[in-house]
Amino acid sequence: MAYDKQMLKDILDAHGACGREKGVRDTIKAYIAPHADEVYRDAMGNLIAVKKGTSGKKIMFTVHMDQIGFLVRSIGEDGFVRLINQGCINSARCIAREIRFENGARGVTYFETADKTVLTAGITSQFVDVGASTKEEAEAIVKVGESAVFASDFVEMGSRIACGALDNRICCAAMVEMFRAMQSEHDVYAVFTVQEEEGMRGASPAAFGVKPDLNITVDVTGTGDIPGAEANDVVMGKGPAVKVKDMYITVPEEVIAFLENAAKKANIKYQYEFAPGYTDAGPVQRTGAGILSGGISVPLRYLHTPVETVDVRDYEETVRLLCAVVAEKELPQY
Amino acid sequence: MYDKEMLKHVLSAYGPSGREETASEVIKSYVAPYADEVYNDRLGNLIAVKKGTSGKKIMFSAHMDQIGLCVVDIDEKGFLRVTNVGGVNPIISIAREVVFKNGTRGVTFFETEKGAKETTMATLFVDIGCESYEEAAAKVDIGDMCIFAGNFVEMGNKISSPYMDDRIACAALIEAFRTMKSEHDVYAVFTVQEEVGLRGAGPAAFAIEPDINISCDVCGMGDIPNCVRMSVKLGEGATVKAMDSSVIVPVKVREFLKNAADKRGIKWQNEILRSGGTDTGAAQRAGKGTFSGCVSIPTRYIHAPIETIDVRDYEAAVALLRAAAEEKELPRV
Repeated sequence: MAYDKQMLKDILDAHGACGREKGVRDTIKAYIAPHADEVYRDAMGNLIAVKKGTSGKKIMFTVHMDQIGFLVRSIGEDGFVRLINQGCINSARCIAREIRFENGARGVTYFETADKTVLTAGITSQFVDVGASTKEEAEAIVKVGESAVFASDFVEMGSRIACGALDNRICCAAMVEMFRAMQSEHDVYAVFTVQEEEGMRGASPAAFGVKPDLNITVDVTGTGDIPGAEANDVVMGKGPAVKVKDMYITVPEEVIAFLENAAKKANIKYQYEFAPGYTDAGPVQRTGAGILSGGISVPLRYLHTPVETVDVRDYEETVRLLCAVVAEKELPQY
Repeated sequence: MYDKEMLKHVLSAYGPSGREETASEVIKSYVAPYADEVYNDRLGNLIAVKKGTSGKKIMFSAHMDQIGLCVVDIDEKGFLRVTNVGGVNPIISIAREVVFKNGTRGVTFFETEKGAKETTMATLFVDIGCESYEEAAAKVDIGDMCIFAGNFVEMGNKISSPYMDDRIACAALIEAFRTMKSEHDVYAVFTVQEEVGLRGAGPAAFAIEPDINISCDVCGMGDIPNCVRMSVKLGEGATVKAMDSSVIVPVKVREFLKNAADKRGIKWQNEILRSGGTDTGAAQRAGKGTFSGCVSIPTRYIHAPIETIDVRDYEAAVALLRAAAEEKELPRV
């Protein structure tokens, strides 16, 4: 497989919980800057890379770079650290995990076993063991407010990869690959957004600043091809999904048709996405006087766990579709 | 200073219950240079012997098997259906990385439509990246077992890793065996199938007929937030077991261990394990019965892939096992 594995690993490994995206922003910037005319960040912390065209039109991609994570809420006299989650994380999935703080410290999580079970122990009944026996010892390791994420490995399984933070770093990497390979007449804006996981907070201000003719949000989407899954026609290995609807947007027909057309011309197989979650596509649509907005999604299993899984073939086809989209001379009209 | 490379190697060796061959080979490589004889018995127990002159036999036992998952079926889409080997919590088993003996890696998940509350081993599955029965069956067979992956995480004096239970005790026994000077015949027995019901230790003890058995295992603690009360704390030394679900340790054996520790200034704590058995009990009732006791290493989060110990307790356990071997007088009836 020809994809740039080291780049993907570096982007996956970079720290970037909600509102604490500096690490991942710096990592992505280093990879994309050589292929951009301009790279800058806005007040929100969004990273924006621009490649100038000649058509006078602007196409924008929103790709969130933050990941689900935690903040240290308090440190007890006993030296155990208490967390609050950032983004939607199942409480039971937070137990018995290795976590990695932004400052490099590591810890392991567990719960109050005297009166809770794995299923009833919410985040407030859980704690992190950082190896400290007193508050002072713990405070020498982490401070209240410190950011943390799940530690995870890069697990290769045939054409599949499992790793935490594939939501949405796989799409950040796809955007870098697109910038390396693309040909476009338009101004292309790659916007790596902040704080998507806590309510899509970064994308709209970025869109307001860029004022694009078209926004395409690139994110991941759940699949229905695992045992006992809720009904969902998206499957692994059958190509990227063109968003029709999620909880915050019904994509305009002309945008769907534009993406379908670009895919067909490039002979790329695609699927349709109807997701029970949300992405940056919705908030961007309602920015300013309104923006044409759609989405391309990479199928992903086991969302918001440290074993999120994607198929490398879907990743590579997503990069091809993104390149096909920016190569289109005519953007959707309304 | 403890031998960290040896500990990491022993912790990471594949060996779920009944499939301990790889772990046995790894441990053998560390004890053989210090033993007069090393062999495996019919069950797979690894036995290293160092001869003495007293005519007495002291046996030490630490189990080398580990908990895991066993493949019971491969479905048409290539997902593996599994059951537990030993005490595995199905909910804790969700969204984990696992690895098979042949290096095949996978991740676990569950049938979400039923909801987490109904998660049992029957609704758990392993995804090894395959799309068909044929593709999956080429990598993994029904009956194959996988273990949980995880990192060696150093946190000050503490270390977290999968399978401290009971590889930390295997490493302690290796360290003690390397350095001990005993007048007795010393048998270091690395047992099989402890996690599925203490199946290996009894036959080993029957064959050896020791004058005393000292098991080494992990035990729980009471020093994490809002847990069931227990006096054991990490960092306060190795424990001398009084009781667990499998054994009531004779007073003579406890006194023997406490005296051996006190004479040498080794830190120890009393241990009563509310639930869970150890090889201590199986060895006690082997043959016509034997004196049996246990030295434990306090461990947090047992049977989760982040089992956590304190290096100082590990070092105390090494010292106490060595001290027991060096005692001239063993307990008598």
